[in-house]
Amino acid sequence: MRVMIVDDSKTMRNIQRNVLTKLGYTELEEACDGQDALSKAGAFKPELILLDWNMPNMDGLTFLKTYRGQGHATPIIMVTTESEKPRVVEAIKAGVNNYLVKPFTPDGLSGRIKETLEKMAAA
Amino acid sequence: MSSSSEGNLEIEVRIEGDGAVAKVLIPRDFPKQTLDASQLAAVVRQRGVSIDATVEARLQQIIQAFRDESDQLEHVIAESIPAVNGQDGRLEWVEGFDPATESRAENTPDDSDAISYYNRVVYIRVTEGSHVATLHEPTEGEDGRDVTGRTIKARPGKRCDVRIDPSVTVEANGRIIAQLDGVLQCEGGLLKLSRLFEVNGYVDFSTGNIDFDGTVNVQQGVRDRFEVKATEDIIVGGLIEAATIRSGRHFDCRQGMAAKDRGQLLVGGDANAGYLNGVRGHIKGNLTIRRELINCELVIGGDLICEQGAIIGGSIAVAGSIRAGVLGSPAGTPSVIVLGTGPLLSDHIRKLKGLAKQLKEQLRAQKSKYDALSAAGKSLRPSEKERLTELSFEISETEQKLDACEAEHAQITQTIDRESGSGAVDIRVSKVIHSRVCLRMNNHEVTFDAPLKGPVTIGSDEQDQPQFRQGDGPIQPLTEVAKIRNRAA
Repeated sequence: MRVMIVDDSKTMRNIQRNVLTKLGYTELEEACDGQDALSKAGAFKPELILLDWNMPNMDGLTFLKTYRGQGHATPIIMVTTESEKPRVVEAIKAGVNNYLVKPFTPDGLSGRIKETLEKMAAA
Repeated sequence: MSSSSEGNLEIEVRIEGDGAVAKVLIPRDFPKQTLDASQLAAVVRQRGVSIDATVEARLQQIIQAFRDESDQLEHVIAESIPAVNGQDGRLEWVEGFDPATESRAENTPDDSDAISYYNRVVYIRVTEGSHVATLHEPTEGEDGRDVTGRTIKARPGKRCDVRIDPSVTVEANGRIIAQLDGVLQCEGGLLKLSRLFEVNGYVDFSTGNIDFDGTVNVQQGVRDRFEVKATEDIIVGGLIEAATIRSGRHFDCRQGMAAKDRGQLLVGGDANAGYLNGVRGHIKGNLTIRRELINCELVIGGDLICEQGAIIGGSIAVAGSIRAGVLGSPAGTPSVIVLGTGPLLSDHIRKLKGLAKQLKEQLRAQKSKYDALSAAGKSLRPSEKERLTELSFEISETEQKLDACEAEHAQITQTIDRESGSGAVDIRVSKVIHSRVCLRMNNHEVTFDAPLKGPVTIGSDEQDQPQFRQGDGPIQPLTEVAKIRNRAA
């Protein structure tokens, strides 16, 4: 499965990459902001996206709206420090499939990935 | 009125440069009133010049100029459209992947201004999935047209003559993607990734240290203080000086290693060498030496085979059997040979204990940082929340390492308990065991005070008492020819 990690922090990308590798996902692509993600998504064709909210150039929410606007149904998990309820609702309305608030644990991230993929498979 | 010559009052149409230019020449005395556009056009057409809107406009201008008493009697009426030749296909390297680029020296890890020429990089390492280059297809070009309307054919571009090995693939958009981890090579028109890294000369300042995921073949030798590291085999054709060699699998040195007590040899599989002198290290498999093993400190996980050679000086721990021509030297060089897995495992367990202690300290520090930061609760800034996530992952990683370390420690302790005092001893020396050779076997330390001529076989009986057999002679207690001290006592 092809998974794209979108986060401006290299450390956070590494953390997510480690969890994904342990879960057996090896086809991974990284993007440092929404703009970078949009330019890479065309060729990479992700099957799951882990998306940060606050990033330079293009934030996660703008990416989400643009990407969904292009007709992509790829499951997206928002991985962010934004924990206020209105923000979560805003992201869900924009088309996010799941939500994980920082700080999170390795088990928390892997649990959210599995949960999202199971939901998508059942749908 | 025609284009052929009738006196000197005929309009002439000239086509020059193989259809590149068409010109009209009007005689000075040509009657002005008789020149009109349709007649001029008829002359031009008759000559074969293709008439389009541009040519028609020019003809009008010529007539006007002639009527206005212009001195210019020669006029260009049409020009060809040259063909635009196609561009040749080409390979465009992604920055940093061009194998023809100069080598670079890298900054040392501890000082960003210092350059280490030991860490010079002369090969391009590529990981699977990397976009290394783009293959541009040739273009067809665009045909041109001469003044008569004939097509001037454009020369299509030539294909890029690079051949593509299956280790890389070309996507529909021309992107060339690595299919494995390896060294990028483009030689003899073939672009490929190789799991074999060839060093044509020495590993020295021209190459820098080698750290390669695959096999490394060094045609010559390895100079002082350099390091060759490979996840698979390392093959060295010449002399290795006081260098560091780390191979994930086998090591083969056709000459030898003269390490001056500074060089290190760490081999994940079997090792073969002409000789080893002053080498420290660990060989997980068998070590085969064709000539001498001199003053080395080695731990060998398999057998030590030096059937035609001599093992002189140093300290060698061998888990398996020993086949040697000579043990020690006529000068009585102290030579210690330790037999059995005990020394190997004890050394390993000591390292594991050290690692466990270090991991526990690390874990304590990480947990303390985590607790201090998370005490702020909901008032954490986003950057602090990210730091907490990082700490949570660091703690998880350290815990996993500690678990693995403790599990390995327990397993090795069990093995040592099980094998304690029961290691099988199997030494065969074909020529001689010299004095001051010391064998540590099970619970015994055997020291030879006088030479013992070979062929001699040394082993132990059912009660683990050392014994020997000289040639076809009887099996005798080793106490007959050597001093034996019980190490357990």
